[in-house]
Amino acid sequence: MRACNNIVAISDIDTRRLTRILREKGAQGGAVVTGPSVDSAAAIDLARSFPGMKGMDLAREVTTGETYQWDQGSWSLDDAAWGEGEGEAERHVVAYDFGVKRNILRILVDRGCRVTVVPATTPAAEALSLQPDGIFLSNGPGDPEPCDYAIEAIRAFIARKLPVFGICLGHQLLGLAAGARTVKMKFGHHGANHPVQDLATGQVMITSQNHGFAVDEDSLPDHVKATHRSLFDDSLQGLELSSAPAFGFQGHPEASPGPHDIAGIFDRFISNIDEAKAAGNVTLLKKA
Amino acid sequence: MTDQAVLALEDGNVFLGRSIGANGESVGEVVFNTAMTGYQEILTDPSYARQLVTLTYPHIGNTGCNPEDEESSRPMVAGLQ
Repeated sequence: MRACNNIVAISDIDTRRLTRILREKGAQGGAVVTGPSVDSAAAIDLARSFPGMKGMDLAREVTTGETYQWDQGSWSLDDAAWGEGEGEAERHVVAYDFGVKRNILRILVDRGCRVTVVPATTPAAEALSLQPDGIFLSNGPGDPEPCDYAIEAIRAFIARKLPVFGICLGHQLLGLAAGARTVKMKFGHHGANHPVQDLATGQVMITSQNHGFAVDEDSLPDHVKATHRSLFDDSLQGLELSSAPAFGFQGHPEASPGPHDIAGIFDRFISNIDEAKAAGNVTLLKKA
Repeated sequence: MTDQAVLALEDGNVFLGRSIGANGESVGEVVFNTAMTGYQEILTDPSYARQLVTLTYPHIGNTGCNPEDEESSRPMVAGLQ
């Protein structure tokens, strides 16, 4: 699998020493060189050629080329089969793919959503023409700031008061669309054991994390509220808008891998969709 | 014969080891992940594009891979150490 996917990998190195260096100096450019013989000096030059993640739009590189439907639910250990979701899947979610993890899509299907996955650069008008009941903004790599196409689309969804839920990069893009700033972190959060506090209830949940950028809590405008914070470094982990049913979570509630403590946050997106549908907001918009 | 491998950092630190993947070279941001399980999900997570991922947990590779745990259609990391 490794060789056919052309991924380089190195074993038998002191990962404790490496991790200490990264913690002290921050994430940095690097190079892995493998072969019958390797040249360390050339590898250092190669490592220094990496321009850094800041300003790098990678969502555009990893996104899907075409729109597609996703209808697979979570794997059932009892049935030894993929789930098919509940009921008639009456909620239509348009999921922006900035580098989406499949388990997110499966969890949406489990919760009765029909999911249409669209490329990262899909304009708002095109997404709206699919008549979504809610918009999901996926996780993804790189810096959120250069993703101006997505930020513009999200602003249109917020203005229409469509239910919006963002995870990871999607959360950062929602923050930028709402007027906040994002910052590059020193070494980021990557792991499956990060404590995060729900600021409304005080509850602490152990979460899966993977991000190198974060929304700066100090930059949140008045209509955006902080909802979660990391207990490792107090960085912002969740936000919600008061002007629209839109919220985001920085960590990974879909786990995969990791604990499921915060999986319930998906239910909030579902309730927002159901409330908007009940209030007729979404239906009215469809006619407009 | 086992192929050689080197991980170099931009600060000049060098780690010599053993190659356990493809032969070639890859450049990216070096990060570390502290998860004790789920390396297949980590390697196939598109959020790791252009990153060289250090897995801090030592028991890596002993549970193999299976199609149910792919988070995307292929490994997305720039490299693994």
